[in-house]
Amino acid sequence: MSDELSELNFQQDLDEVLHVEDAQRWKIEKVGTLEIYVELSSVKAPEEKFQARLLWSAYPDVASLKFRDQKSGRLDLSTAWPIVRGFRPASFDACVNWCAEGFGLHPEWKNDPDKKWHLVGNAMLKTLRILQSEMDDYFGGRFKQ
Amino acid sequence: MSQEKIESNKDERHEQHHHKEHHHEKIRVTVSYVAAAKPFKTEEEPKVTVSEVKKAVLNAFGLQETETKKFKLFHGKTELTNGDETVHQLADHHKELHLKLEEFLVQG
Repeated sequence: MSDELSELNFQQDLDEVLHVEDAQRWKIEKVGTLEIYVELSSVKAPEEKFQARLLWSAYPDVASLKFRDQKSGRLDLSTAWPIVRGFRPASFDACVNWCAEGFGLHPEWKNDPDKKWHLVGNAMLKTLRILQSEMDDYFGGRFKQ
Repeated sequence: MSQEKIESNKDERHEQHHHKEHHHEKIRVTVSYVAAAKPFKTEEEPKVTVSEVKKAVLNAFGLQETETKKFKLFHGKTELTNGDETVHQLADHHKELHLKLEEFLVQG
């Protein structure tokens, strides 16, 4: 997919995301051509805020997921990560089939029809809703070193 | 016929009529899908089955099931595995039914 088409699709989906009801729970900032920061929390601890960084190399492929320390802006602090199933704060990645790092760790998922990323609908919304749902259902607090 | 018997028959008829009316009332079905900004909304006859709803939903969201790719409908946290179940049975006497179309999530 061309860079230009990626950017157009990305912007169109971002515009749509900003208008869905779920977006009231998110503080979304576009910080790069195909990059956003999203502040969110779990329903289990609404006061505990986390900032996810989603970066696409091509849109709507699967996004890279990191958590960002909001004070320093660093992406390499394990304490910026929530404890959620599949997340590996000590490695600054998540081994799940809805982010790029997961497919990096499990290349075989790309060929598994059940596990591969399906490019249907709004990929950004899909990623954000899955992230939010995982945060709500499996949140175990902030990772402590 | 005693007054008591007449009242009892009236109650029975009312109950049957109410049940019949209730059973034929359309049910508002809403199905959400993570990648769709708006949920799929439809009004269905009570006898419409889970399989029929799923077919309409997949069509509306532009999704296709294959031999190896299946989508699952959930009612709350319960996966709907019986395609013959009707929306009437699922709605459990309510006029609305909220379902979710979900994909398979996995973690390594």
